[in-house]
Amino acid sequence: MKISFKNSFIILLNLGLISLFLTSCEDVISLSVPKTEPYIVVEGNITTLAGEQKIILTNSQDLLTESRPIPIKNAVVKVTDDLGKIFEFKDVKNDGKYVWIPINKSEIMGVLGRTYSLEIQTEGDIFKAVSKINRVPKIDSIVYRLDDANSRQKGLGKPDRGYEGQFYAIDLKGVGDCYRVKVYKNDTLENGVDNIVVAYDAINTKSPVGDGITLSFPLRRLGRNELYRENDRLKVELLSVTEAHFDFWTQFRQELNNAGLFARPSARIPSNVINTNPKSSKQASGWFGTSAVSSLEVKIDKTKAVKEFND
Amino acid sequence: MSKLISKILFFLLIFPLVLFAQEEKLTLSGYIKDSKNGEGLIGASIYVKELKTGTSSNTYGFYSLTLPKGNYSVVITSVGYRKLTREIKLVVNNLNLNFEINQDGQELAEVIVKGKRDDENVSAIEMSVNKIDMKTIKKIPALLGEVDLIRAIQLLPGVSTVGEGATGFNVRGGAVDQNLVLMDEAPVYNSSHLFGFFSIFNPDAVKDVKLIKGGIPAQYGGRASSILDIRMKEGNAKNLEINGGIGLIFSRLSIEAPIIKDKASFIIAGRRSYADVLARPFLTGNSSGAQFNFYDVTAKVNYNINQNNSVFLSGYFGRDVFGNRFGFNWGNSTLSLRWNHVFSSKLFLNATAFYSDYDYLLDTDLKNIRPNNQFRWTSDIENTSIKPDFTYYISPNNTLTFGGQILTYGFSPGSANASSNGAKVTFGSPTKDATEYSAYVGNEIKVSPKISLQYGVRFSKYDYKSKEDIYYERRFVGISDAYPSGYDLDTKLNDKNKILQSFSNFEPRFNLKLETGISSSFKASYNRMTQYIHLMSNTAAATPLDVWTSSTNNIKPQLVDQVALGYFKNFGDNEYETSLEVYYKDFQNQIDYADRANLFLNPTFEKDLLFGKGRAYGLELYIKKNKGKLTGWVSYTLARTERKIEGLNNGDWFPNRYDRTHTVNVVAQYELTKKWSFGANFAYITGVPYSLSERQGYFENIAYGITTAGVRGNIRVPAYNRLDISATKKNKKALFGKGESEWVFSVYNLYNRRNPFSIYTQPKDDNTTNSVDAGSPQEVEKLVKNEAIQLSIIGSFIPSVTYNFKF
Repeated sequence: MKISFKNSFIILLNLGLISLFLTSCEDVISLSVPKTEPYIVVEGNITTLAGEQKIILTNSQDLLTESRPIPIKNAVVKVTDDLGKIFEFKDVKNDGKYVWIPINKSEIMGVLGRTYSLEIQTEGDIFKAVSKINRVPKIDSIVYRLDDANSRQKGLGKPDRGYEGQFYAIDLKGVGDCYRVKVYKNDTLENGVDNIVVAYDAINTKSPVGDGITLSFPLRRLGRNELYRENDRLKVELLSVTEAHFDFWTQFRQELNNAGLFARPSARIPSNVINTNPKSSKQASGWFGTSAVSSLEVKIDKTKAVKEFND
Repeated sequence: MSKLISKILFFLLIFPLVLFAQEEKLTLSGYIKDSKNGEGLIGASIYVKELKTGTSSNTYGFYSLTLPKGNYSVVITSVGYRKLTREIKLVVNNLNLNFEINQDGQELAEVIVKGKRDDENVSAIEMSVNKIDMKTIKKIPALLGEVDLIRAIQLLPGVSTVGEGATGFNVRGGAVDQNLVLMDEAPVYNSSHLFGFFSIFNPDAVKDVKLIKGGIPAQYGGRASSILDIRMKEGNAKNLEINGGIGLIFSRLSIEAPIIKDKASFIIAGRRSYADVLARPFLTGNSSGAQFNFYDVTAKVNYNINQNNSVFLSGYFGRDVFGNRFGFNWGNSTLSLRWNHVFSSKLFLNATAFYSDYDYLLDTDLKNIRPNNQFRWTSDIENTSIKPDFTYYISPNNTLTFGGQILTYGFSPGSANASSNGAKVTFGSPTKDATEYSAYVGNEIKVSPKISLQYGVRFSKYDYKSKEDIYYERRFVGISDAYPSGYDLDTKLNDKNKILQSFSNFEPRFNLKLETGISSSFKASYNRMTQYIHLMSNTAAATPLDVWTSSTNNIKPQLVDQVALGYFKNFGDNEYETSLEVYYKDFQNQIDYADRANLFLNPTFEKDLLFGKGRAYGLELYIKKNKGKLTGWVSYTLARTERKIEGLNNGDWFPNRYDRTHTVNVVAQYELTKKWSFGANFAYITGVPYSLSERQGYFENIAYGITTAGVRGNIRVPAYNRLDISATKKNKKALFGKGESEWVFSVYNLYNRRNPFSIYTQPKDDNTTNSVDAGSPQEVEKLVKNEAIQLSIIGSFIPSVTYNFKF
């Protein structure tokens, strides 16, 4: 419950301050930041879904740089599975997005239980990463109910009244299964800071107590930033991630929300990408992940809406 | 070893007695009290004209003077009181005399309890001590008009905080957990309401405040950096007295009255914030029924059984409540029972038994609407103790103090009940128990009229028990993303009945005073302090949810050595007090936190800790004007506080998050007429250090900071400055034509400055990032960029008005 209580704590602090007729304020400032040598930023996730697989390579910039990230071109990118099969990734559009394209539609790259090794060669450096595809439970159901939008769900172009959902899935028995939740509305991924949802067994913090139970609230919540409309197609994907990958996402989100009276010192976000030369000025950030995927899609139908969630 | 210890203690105890065994003398002893309300006066002076010697009353108002037989004229003085001269005959028997002295009459509204001799700062042996009387505290312009003891002491040299609204305070480079805050001898674990905006002490119930920053006497122990000793009023023993106030935040009411005149009295004082009551009409829908309030109740009864026996029972209960369906509440409660006993006119005992508790609750479902999907978390630290303290008044020039304490701790760091879709689980950190035993002896002697010495030693022993079948031991495995601290834990079997870890420490204490002129002195002190408990806090400001933990087999007690030197001089018949002090502190066994440390509900949190040492040094200049229409002080502190922790900042020294290089405070109070008085204070404080990422990357089109592990203090927040003013109008009459009353008008942050608390980066809420770069042949995705934010906790000037009354 670490994250959810922290955010609520800040909301409550503000409520408290307002109640005292005080206002805290945040001013955007310009900050002089040190010049840095770039790191490589790796973003890749191999899945058990059919189709292309993508690995994106960019250079890091100085903090607060306004311009878009600079793609790393002309790298040699390949992934080898634990059976020795090699998958080559090509920068087809010359934009730093390296893609593996299946020869035919039935060819699927990611296989449950297999381990994948990434190797990137660029400008004299060799980077490596390893990840295994872990198991994932099926999604049992998606339910939704009609409700008024709360302050978070309100906004320009968003419905004031609509459907809010929850999905149900039971964590697999055995401590330490980790998952990421991705939600698509009409095939568009709900992305952004608020939509990073990861689970350790059925809860959002590393503890053995969530083992084997239904994914807890608020992990299973759908429509956190915008209510759904009648006939919207709502798809939930549950992706298995490794425990280290869970740590990555947890810290990624923590760093993005690290503000205010109770901010922590900036911390390193873990990365499983390692430069084989630890003395090189170009070290790595980001993550090479692997996931098995289960998914469920529904179309919002008012006759199927529930009155109350089962909680 | 223990034989040696007892020999040393025995010698220390006997030594002063042997040295001053003298010819036949008699003792004059008793209490010095306020004639108006019967309150015992702390530090009132009693002076024997013929012998040019004297003493001052102790914390309970008791004094004892052993003199050769004779007739004397004694003078009793205390600042704010009329001088009292009495002729006494000390020829046949020991004399038992209580003195009641009259208030100076100038003041209308407040009880003046200022336990100070005019030149005490120069003549007393203690150094690095600040006392502010409640009368002065009440005149300092306060945030929203709420008189605040903790915010007032932050205006003293050597005291700082991480920023506005932060819980607690830092003394001479020490952390917030290193202050022993005592309320009638019971420790208080969280001294703040609403994070750090208000302190928990009701100004109407407080009699005396003393902050000891260095040269800490042997009778105090348990925290590493300072003692804040707060004494509550005993209650008016002569007449019914009602004090109260109506402010923007709190309403206050206190009632004190005799139960048996001059024998027994009580005080009960309560406060409650009513912001939620005012806000209620504006809360609708989901937020209706939201609670945010804080309240406290302070009560005390005392009974003077006879000249030699008095008992006191005092208690405090306070709570902050925040929330709606989801909520928190937290608070302290203390109860202390004290017995003052005069064995002989020379031997005084104060025996205390106390209970203290700090706990909090966090609940996702306060109203129990969804019992199948809720989360409820509680945490608590509990103390019980007995503590006898003896004072033996050997002669006016020689006082011996000795005593001991047994203090038990119960730690429940965190226990949670969670349910998801009906499945219930309980988890958290196991409870722990500990007992701290201590014994001390201290001796204060005037070696010559110019030289005084105070020395002593405190011995403490700490026994720690885990209440679980297993315990953990740290093992080094190397730093990696999986082990950011470099340590893993091995699980071992534990015998719950056995002491798992024991520590013992000697804490030497030493003070020296050398008078260098009629109104100047040089003082030096050394003290070692041991602290067996630690507040786990990894955030910029401590939160009410931070957890206190015991020293364990993995966590060693904090040890602090401090050396301080000072020069004290008064000018113009003690109109101006000045002091210049320098100090150096060495901290051992300081705790820090590896990246991604999880300190909540985590039984294996010891894995995430890092350890190291610290150092702090500084210079404090203090100029105070005591008399006249204009009073106040100027304080300047030049300081540094740093730590060196393996695994952080490449193992180099780095500034603590409460490091403030320059701190200037100016406090001024001007009494224009009997009716009108004015106050102002100004603060200028260097910004605190902060840590910020070095690089920026994009992942799934979201900008994020790339940070080298263990970065600390790589930027500093800009400096802080603020001016507050107040005006007080006294009325001769209060409600219904009785008593007295006053209006207090104040403006906090007069020039409306947005003082920075911290700087951080956060995702930018910006639609322009949607636009497609001109001429770009490729599809351009929406990016969530980063921006730098400067946070000001209080973003404007704050006017307020308060009405106080007294019957």
